[in-house]
Amino acid sequence: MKNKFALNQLRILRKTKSRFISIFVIVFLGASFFAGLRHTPFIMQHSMNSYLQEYEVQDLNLISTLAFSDDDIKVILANEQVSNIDKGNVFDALIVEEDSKGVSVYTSETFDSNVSQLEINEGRLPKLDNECVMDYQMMHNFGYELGDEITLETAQGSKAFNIVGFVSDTRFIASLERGSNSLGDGVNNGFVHILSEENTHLIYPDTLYELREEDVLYNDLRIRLHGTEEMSLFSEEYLKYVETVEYELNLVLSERFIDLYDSIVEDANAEIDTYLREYDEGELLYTNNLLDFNNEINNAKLELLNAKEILVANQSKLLEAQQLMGDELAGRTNEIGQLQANIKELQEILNALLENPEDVIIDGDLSDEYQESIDEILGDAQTTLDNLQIMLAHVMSLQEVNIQLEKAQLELELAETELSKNELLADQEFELAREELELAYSQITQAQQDVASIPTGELYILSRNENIGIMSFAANTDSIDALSLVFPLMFFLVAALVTLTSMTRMIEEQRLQNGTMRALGYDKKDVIMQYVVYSFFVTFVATLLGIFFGVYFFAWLIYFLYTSILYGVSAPIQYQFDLWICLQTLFISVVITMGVSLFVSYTELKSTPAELLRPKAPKMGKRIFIEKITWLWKRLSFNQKVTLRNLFRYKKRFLMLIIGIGGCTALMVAGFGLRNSIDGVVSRQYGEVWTYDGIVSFDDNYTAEKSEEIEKELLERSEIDEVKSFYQQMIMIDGEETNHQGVLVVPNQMTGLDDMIHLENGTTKEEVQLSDDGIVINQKLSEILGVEVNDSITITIQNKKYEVEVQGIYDIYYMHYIFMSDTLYEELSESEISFNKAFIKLPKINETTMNSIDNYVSESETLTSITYSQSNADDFVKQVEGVNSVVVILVVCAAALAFVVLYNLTNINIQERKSEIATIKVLGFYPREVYDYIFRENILLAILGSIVGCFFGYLLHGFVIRSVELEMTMFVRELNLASYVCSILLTLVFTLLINFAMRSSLKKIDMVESLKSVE
Amino acid sequence: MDTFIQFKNVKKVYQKGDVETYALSGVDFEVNKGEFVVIVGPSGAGKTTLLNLLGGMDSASEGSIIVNGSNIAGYDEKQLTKYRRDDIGFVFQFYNLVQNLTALENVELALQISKDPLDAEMVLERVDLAQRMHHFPSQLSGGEQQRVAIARAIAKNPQLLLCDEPTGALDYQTGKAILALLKEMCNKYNMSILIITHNGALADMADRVIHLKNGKVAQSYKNKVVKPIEEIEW
Repeated sequence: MKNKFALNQLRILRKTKSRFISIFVIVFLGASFFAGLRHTPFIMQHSMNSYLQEYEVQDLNLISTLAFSDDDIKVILANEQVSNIDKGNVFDALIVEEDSKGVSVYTSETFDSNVSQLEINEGRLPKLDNECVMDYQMMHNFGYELGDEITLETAQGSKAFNIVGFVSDTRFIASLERGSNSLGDGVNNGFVHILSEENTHLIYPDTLYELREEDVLYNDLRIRLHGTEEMSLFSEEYLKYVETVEYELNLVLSERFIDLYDSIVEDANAEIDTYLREYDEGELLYTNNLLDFNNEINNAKLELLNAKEILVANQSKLLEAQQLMGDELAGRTNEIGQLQANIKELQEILNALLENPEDVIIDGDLSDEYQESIDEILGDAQTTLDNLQIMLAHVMSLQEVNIQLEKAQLELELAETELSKNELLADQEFELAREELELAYSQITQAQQDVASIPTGELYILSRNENIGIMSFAANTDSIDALSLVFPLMFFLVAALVTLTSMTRMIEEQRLQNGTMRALGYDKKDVIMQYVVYSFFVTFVATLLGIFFGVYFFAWLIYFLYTSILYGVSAPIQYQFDLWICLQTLFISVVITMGVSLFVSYTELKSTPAELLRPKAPKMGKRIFIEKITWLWKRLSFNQKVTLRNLFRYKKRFLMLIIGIGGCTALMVAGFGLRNSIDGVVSRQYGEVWTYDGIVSFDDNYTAEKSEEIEKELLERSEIDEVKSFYQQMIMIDGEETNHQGVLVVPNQMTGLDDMIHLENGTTKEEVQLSDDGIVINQKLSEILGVEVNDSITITIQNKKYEVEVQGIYDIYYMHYIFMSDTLYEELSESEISFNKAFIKLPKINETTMNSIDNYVSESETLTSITYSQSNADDFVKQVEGVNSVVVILVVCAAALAFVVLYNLTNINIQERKSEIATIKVLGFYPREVYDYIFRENILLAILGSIVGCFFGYLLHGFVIRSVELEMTMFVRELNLASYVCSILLTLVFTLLINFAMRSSLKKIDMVESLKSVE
Repeated sequence: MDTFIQFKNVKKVYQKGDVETYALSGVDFEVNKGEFVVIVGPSGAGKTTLLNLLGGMDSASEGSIIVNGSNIAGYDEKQLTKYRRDDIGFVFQFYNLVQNLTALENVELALQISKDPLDAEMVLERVDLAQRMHHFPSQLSGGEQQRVAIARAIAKNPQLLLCDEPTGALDYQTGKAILALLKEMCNKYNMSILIITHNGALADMADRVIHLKNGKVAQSYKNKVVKPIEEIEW
């Protein structure tokens, strides 16, 4: 008996092909969507994990400002969990060229180590110290080629390297994320790998070697742990394990570094102390000497003064003597006169003698008279002469004293000169000594400052959680997980409805047969079972196939899109089936369809066999609510009335069509909207927010005045309409969990800025003005940070943290741009603002003007490069091209949904109304009129459904957009009219296609049916 | 009297696999305009096939069917549809009303495609359903439903009314009333009416009676005395 039963089952299956296909397809779609999307995050993680494991990605990355010595490494290796260490360095450098590019440079002792190996995309790994391999992305972005020579420059020096290969690095799996650079304009463009040997001079100042008293240092250790190759990098287990080791290493190393720091500082301080002591001694000596010297000088001066005093006293005595002498001399004048008189008398006597010698000479002798007078005269003269002799002697002695005094004066003057000379010389010496002392002091202060600035041995231990690429990959996979619930839900809902209507119809059709069976003695259970078995069979097969299809197709596709657009790695997909997800899928679909079948067959077949053997009374006609609105109802044509009545007559069908078609429209709205949202980023950002045409970069930071000169020069060119200089700097914004990278823009005064950038708040649609009270941030950043206007955020500009208030929030779509007024910047940084870039606006953009500006820029001394918004926009468009395929998939799925639902329902509709259709055919309806009679309902429902679908599409789109948005991007969240219109039109096209395809079923209906009994 | 319908050697073959079944194997008869015709015969005699052919729902395998001067056996599908639409009114055994339309609307359904229809409400009044024209079929009794069906057929103002066992699903009294109505309509609108039935008793009320047997006309005659329906018992 049972096998006949099974035979009947098979025959039913064959006879109900279209119903079978309907249920099959919808369950298949639902299952493939569900299983596919649920598997995707899992497969993506698995594939990425395999890739990362293949290249032995570092589990931990140790970076230290004090660098690591071999001893430090021994300490690390002492940890049992550490299996491998790749010793190397990392530093920021600039590739010196016209427009210098900041890059991260990694050095390794060898490229054979078993940690963080590079995937070679082109060329080979470096073998010589002047060879390098470069970021594969940089090859794409800047057109470097194998064999190119680049010069890397750091504060310590520069060196030329040959590019021998292009590589992908597990440290940078996201194609957009390259971090920031401490050199240049702060943008990090990529990475370069070189050998450590012969290259470390680029990294450390010699002082560090001295400080550490080491010959070999590393600042970047890449560590692989034992056992991680067996774990998934995305698993909790892995994160926990690594965290433990991280904690242990941190403990040991931090202590070491604190000790190291202390000892370095202690040594330095000890040295400084010696110097300080020596200085103090010198200072003391100096002061003492100065004091002694001053004493001596003063003594000398005192002596000199004393000598002067004596001299002056003597001089005055001399003067007195001279005066006395003068007086005496004056007195002596008489004596001289007497003498002269005496001489005269003698003369007279002589004369008389000569004239009258006889008179005078008596007897040959002088007359006594004469003799007497002569003697008297001679006696007088003699006395006078004696007096004069004494006088003369007096005068002579005075003269001598005078000479002596003058000599003494001269001596004194000499001594005085000597003294001044000595004083001057001594002063000079003291000056020198002073200077030396001061120099020594400043050196000591410097040394003290140096000690203060000795790096405290900052130790950074980075794990997978600090790898931005892997983090964002994990975040992406999570967002897909969120999607994997929404889409399949819709399909499962429709699957339930399709099963419901199909099974109902099938049971109704077989009512008589079932009645007969019951009459023959089959149990109610047996009859019900045949439908449950039927639905189980269909669902089971469909689900199994759906799971395979979903995993191989959806997972592949999404993975492909993500890895090709967002992640520049060629990690091959690794398919994996998760038993739990498969069982879930199977369970959901089977439960849905079997539950529905059970419910339907039970309600339909619960009546007695006798009842079943009678045809089911046709569903009663009913007035619909619109008929109560008489003025409207009266206006409707007869056909419209019929259509409306029919629509409301079959509520299940109505609901299902609305959901099915609504779902179809919603999927397409989401798909088209998604593309618009992503495409819109370009047109919005480069058309509405960035209204400038290009940005020129200066070769240096220039003051406001100098920048304005450059502006003027640029403005003199006819190709350029407007110029506005600004300061651009990469900054970090403190976030709750991680910090975010942003770009700070400080325009040179605010006037004229409106022509270059248009900051508008997305919600209020109001223009955002820059003020001196705070900064203006973008919407996405405000969302990430959870801040609103008037809240404060902490930003790091060139290693200094500032807390600033948010004064405005504006809409931008790619990257976080933060605007600050120059006044505020100067206030914060306490330094004068200088500018490094300028917006330019061109009257028209074409090849000629662009070439002419390019030439000007390359010849200019102050300008290094120009980038046009247009080319940036083109780049972005290229990056997001893959989104188009998402749209295609969604449209295809939507079409599938529409087809399944419409086909299924139209089919049932036709089957149920066979006799009615036959009747109107008999009445003489032309085929066209018959089609219209039936399909008009489909079209009306399609319109209604697509309107409902637009609403659901709006919700779905919002959800999807938020799920797929990256940290640095905000997609356009509004939906455009075109997305709605396209979706509605396509829905209608699908409907018309189905209608067209279903014509043959209508045509097949035999009019003779109308003569038969009502089923 | 004009010959309105003329069947000449009409054959209908159904091919099922290799088996050819003759539903009609050469039928010949004539009907005049305005005649009330009853076609009787046992199950499988080919009554329904004959009606299908005459109603333009199926085409004959052989022979010609002249209706009002045109050979509908040579019509293509489109012509047949037009023929059904303009010339034929149908009354079915199971009424075949559209459940979701009221009585009036069911009549209007037929009217909207007719080129010269009668007024729906007037026709419904004629069949005594003026009070119930806004009811749905499920709210009407079998007889009422059949009257709606008749109204629907007549309102099209066809030249020929074809009825397939019009009383088959009705009780005796109602059946009689329906037949009386048909007869009345026939006279009033000068329509030819063809009724198919297995009930031989009805033959007496017909102007013309055609007996079918095994796909052939066994007997075709005009009643000299047409009995009013009230006098017929079965």
